[in-house]
Amino acid sequence: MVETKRVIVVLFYCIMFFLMGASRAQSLSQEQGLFDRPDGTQSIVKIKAGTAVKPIKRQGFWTEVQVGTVSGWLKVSMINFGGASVGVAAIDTGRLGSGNIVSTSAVRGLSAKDLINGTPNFAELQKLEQLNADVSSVMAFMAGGNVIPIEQKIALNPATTASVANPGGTLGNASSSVTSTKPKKDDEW
Amino acid sequence: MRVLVSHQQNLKKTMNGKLMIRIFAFVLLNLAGFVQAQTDEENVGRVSAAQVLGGAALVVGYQCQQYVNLVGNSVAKQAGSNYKWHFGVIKSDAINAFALPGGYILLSSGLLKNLESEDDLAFVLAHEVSHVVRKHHYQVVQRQRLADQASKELQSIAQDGEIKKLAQASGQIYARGLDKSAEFDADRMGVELMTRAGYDPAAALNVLEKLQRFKGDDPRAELLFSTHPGPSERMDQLLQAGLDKLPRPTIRVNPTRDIRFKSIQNSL
Repeated sequence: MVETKRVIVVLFYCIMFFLMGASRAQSLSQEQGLFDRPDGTQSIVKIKAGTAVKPIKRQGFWTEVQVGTVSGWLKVSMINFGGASVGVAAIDTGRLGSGNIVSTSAVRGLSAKDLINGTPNFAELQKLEQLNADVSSVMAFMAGGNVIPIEQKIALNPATTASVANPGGTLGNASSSVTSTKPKKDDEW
Repeated sequence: MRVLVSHQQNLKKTMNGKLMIRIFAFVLLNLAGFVQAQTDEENVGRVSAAQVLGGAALVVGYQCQQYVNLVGNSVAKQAGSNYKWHFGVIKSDAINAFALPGGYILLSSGLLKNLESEDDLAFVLAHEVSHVVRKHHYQVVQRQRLADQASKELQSIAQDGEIKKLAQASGQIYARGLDKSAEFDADRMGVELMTRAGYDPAAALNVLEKLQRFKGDDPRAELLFSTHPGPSERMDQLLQAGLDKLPRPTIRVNPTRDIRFKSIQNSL
């Protein structure tokens, strides 16, 4: 009887482990042809939606993937990163619910315990308040690093209830919110 | 007749004067309310920052601190807010960053060491700036104050005992984390700010991929993962929002930007 119970418990954990692993796997969000290089030509090799892909390296918004013995490039947005159902996300955050603090092991400073039970350090705060940067220094710094502000309006799509509830859903339908006057290629300035 | 006209004019002047006084008083009251709110937010931020700094002090090194302030202000400028920003690097192996109300941002040296570029840093700081601008933590403090109103806790930070209470309450908020929606919101706004500033939005994916590698048993990222959604979920959210449709400033790594970032990283 005890033995059967133990087998059931082990089986339960195996199934849970498998489910968590499967939900985190990276797969294709919709049927796609592989590209020979970023922004290159799409090959005739079609990969079905839901097929598991193994990312090799990423270049900007493109990622090189291996699918079985074949490899090629896909846009990052074509891949579902395994972001997960709400249940798995809850496991990810480790949050136990309102008011419950998840214990953290000791790293030098900044554990949950340190943050709650620590003593405020106002001497360090005074030093922090001395740190800032004036407008002219910021402008010179940006120019020095070729950081050039974009004049056009940049806005991502706001979150929708559906997208929060189904984070691994259909991707890449947000282009309308980016108010660029001219459509640009992904690696184009 | 002349007397009547003169009287009417005087009356009009008096009424105009009264109206002006009322408008002036209204503006003054609003201004006072705004200043008070701003001051309260700053006070909460000061105590919260002191609490985090109690766990880990600032890194000694002017160049490193100045560099983070320059990158931080580059992206914060795009938010168009009135905060006086103070960015600081704290000495800790933990992989984490903190947005404190009122414009105080703290970043761990552990996180800075593990980033790959100035663009990566711009995303991290822009994410924290967004938390401040959206008042995510300040709103939680306000809600907690309402909940504690009966016992009059957290109502004033004028006395030492109350500062301690506020500091502990803030510590709890940072240990517990925000709602997932607030984190996704800060990711989205952060990407918008950094892109507008002229940094590469693809760096957001870089940072999240990097964080994904810490997932598991690494104690350095334990607090980060207990207070934030998983990096893969954050990536999915950003891609759904149209991250990969944003214009990229440059494909090639800017040599000056790269050199100054690496120099700061090596100084840690």
